[in-house]
Amino acid sequence: MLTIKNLRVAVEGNEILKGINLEIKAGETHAIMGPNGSGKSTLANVLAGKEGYEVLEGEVRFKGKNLLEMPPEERAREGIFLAFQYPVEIPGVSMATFLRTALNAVREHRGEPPVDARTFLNLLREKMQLVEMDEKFLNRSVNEGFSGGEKKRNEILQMAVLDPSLAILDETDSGLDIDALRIVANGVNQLRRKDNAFIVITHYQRLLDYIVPDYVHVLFDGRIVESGDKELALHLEEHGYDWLKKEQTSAQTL
Amino acid sequence: MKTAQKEYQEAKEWYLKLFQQWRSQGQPPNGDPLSALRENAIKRFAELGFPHIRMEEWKYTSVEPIVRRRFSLEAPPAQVDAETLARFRYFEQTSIVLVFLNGRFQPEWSVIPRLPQGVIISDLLQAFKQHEALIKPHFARYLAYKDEAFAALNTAFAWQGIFVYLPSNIVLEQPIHLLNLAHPGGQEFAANPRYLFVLGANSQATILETHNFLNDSAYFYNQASEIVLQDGARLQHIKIQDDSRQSFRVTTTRVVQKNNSHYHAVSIDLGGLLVRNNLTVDLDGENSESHLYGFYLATERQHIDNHTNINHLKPYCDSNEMYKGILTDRGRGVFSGTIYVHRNAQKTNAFQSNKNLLLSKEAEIDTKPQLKIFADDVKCSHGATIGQLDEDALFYLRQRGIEETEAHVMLRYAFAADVFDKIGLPEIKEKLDNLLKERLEKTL
Repeated sequence: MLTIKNLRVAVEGNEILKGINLEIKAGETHAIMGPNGSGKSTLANVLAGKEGYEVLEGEVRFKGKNLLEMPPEERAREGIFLAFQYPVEIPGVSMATFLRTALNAVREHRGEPPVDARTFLNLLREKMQLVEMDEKFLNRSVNEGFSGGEKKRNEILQMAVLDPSLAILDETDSGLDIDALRIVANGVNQLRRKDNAFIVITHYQRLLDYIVPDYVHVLFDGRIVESGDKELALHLEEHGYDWLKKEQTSAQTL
Repeated sequence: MKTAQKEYQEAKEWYLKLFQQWRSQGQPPNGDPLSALRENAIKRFAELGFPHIRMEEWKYTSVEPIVRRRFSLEAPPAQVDAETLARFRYFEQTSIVLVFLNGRFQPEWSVIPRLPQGVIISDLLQAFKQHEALIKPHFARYLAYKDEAFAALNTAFAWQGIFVYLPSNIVLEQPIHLLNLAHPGGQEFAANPRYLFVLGANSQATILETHNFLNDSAYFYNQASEIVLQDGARLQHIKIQDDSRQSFRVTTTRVVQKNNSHYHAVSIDLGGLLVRNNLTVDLDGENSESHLYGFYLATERQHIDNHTNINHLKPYCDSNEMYKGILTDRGRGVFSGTIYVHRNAQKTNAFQSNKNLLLSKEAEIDTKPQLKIFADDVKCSHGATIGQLDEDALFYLRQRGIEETEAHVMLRYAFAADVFDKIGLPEIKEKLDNLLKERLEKTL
């Protein structure tokens, strides 16, 4: 589904990603872990098409297409979804208007007719139950005045409505208490299928107790330095990132 | 090349000459109840002349484009048909519609259904004949025509207009729609429409003013309104100005509020090449409330200026003001809002904000919020912001699959919706939404 080859990315002249290689197949969930500043969010933003990132080298193919050539909305319609680390408040744009506009844009791209108001409302109600969100949120402006936990649940709600093929969760667990974490993880787990894939970016192993990954990658200083299964996450939990730093430093001196 | 001073002098003389001609032709026709007032007003205009940018209140708005033109007082006889008018109607048949073509009241196109006992909706000069005791105590009593040139000019030439009177305790359910249509047909004319609304104690009304045009050419509306709200009266006053992009407009409005009265105004300016709105509200009764909202969209070379003055004269009054603007291309906006809290206006609550989106390098906004407080027990705040569209919000929308241009429109719409949402007329919301969206799409 997604193939990243030797991706090098700079922000304001500083190289942040220094050659990422990653292959993600349908039905898989990949966790990307790493200390602060290792490039996790940069990777998520580059895949989603955010401005301000300079691709120096490399290639990203999504379902066989050149992802880096597409504007963000086209990537979204092709099936890439980014659950934001910091969801944006948009005063004056109601949740219902926003989600319906987005859903119809995605549906049009798939060659499906737009949803009418009633069908949309039913769909929305069903998906809101999945993340235990009250219907009153529909009339509110997008994320405006939402608590941290409500914002994160709202991201999962949007994911459920838009039904992407590849969802990237950028530190969705940050700032969540244990109950909210369980709700969010439960929402994600119910959406996992054979024909979609997830990239779960996190600093802590905690989230991976709930969303169990097939693969765990460790990002350090802009490179994937270790890959393994969920045992790797447990190892990181136990030993922290320090052992990696030492290993990397000694590798570089050799 | 002529000096500006000479231009201003010649323009003044032009209107003085027009006035003499107009009077010598026996205008306005059928006897004039305002003869003495007109003479006073034109004398004041002669003394004042047109305002210039060296005056503090006109620092950011030059009326030179108006001064340089020689508008005729003779509005061309406009023709219109029912189908055309229907395009500019907002309400169903039951509402009151007063049609004005090129500033002239058109009784034959207007719809005035049976009104509650004592309610008057009348042609201005007609009202002096039939309801002198009701109109005379108020007409030209509040407007500062002795200090403001445009108000003086309007007062000198006022004969086309409307008098609305509600007796005590009358709640007028149907909105009054003042439907203005300009149809200049190539002739550059000036109109001086004059409105007087008097709402008796505990009466209620909604007035919708719309301003549209049929063909795109230069004309000049110098409109003046006086609004009196007696004890406990409530008025919702909505204005949707969508004039020709070659037209000029100066609007002077003075509102006087007595005890427990409530004024709610929403002023939308989309059209006009040069627009200046002067709105002054006197909170001259305890426990009265004023809510002033405005939205302006200036594109191409439009210049839209809103000057508001809120005078807190008595204690326990609230005022709340929010003006928002979108400026793009070479569009220019001006906002000047003064809240004046007089010495004995204790327990005043006054809030004011002006927010602007500047969407191009050439666009400009000059904003000047001012508080003048002479009482010591008050709550007042004001603020102005100038910004661009939120890039993070734009990316967020696009990441969900929404087209970049649509995302832009959504965010601009959301910015403006704050003001449009204050229009308490749900039956016209859809029409206004469509108008706003269409205009915002054109700004891309």
